[in-house]
Amino acid sequence: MDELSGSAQLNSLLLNINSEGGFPISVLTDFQGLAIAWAASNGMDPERQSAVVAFVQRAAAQVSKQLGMAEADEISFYDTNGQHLVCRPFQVDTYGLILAVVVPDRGHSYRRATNRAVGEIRRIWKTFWK
Amino acid sequence: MQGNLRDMAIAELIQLTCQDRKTAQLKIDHSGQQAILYFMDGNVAHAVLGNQTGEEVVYQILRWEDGVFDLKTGVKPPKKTITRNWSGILLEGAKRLDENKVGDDLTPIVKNNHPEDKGMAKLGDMLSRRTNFMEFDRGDDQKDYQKNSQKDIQNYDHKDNDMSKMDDILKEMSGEITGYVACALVGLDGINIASHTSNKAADPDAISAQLTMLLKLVDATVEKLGAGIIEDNLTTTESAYILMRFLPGKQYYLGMAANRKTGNLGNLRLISKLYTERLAMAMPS
Repeated sequence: MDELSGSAQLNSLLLNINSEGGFPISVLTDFQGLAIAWAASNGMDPERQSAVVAFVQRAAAQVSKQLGMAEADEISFYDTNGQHLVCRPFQVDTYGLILAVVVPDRGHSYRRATNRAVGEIRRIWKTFWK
Repeated sequence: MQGNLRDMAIAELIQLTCQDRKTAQLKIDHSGQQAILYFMDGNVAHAVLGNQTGEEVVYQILRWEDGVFDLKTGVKPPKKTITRNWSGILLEGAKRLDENKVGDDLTPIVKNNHPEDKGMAKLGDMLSRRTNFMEFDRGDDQKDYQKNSQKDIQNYDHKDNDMSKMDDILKEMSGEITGYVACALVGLDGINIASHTSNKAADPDAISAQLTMLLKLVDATVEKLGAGIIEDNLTTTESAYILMRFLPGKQYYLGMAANRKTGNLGNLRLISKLYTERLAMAMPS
């Protein structure tokens, strides 16, 4: 895997976590809502999801600020069928990033997969772009 | 205002006069010919060269590299033979020069060679190093080069290392861009410091010269809008993303193109940020 570029490794990582967690889509986006990498099954729109995720992150940041809370570690958005969007904002160096996955139902675990992905993204970043 | 075209190119004179929304007369003497341009409220209104008048005169004189000019403000045009706006004329001029390009014909239109401009002097120096070294490598006029002192030759070695370092960084960067098409590190006179492309048919020098004009226009517009400092400039076409980002100091910029279908705008912006920092650090001081 180390022979791949950093960008290719990010895409590969997202494919892996989709497979591991049963997610139909995962995206890594910046705080402006531009997708840096994604892995998605047919019919999903990663660019739209990235834009929405950045919007959710901004709203959450406002809420945290207004309530005097620390920055959000995870933001979830559930629909009535139990499908949910999980956003994990985090920093690498000076760059703010958001990892977002769609979890198909309440029965699916996702935390371990997203934790591992955040750690891997940091490692890839440091290896290639620090 | 009077001056020499070696200090200020005609394209720059047009740009400055129009950006200041001046009404003026610009006389240019070159090799026994005299052209007169008239400006009205920030646009080129009329041009005369011998028996010719109108837009074609401007395109003809844009290739003049030497001569003297005399700009008088407040002189109104005797008639109006040009309707296209000034930026359109300059872009068309660049296109025509490009189409007829032989050697360095395109250079004057984007030249910005104020002698006091250290950035440009540095760029000129870098370019001459590159040219010299390339010729040296090719074996052309080797005898002449052998006359150079050992110190000069060592300098060429350093200079070549500088350039190959830039080439290496661009090559590495190309592997990080999804849907990669091309990239170039360009000075604000429109000349490539280094470039890399997967499209062999493209002419990176001509493309860079034209993109530089575009970036300068955008920069001037943003300044007029008081919209702060440009972070990057994105052009989205049916099939490509073209992104330009200044290096710190705004003397150079990184231009990159990616396929819109296979590429990814977030990836392109991120990589442009990361690599402009690297390129800036690798620039020879």
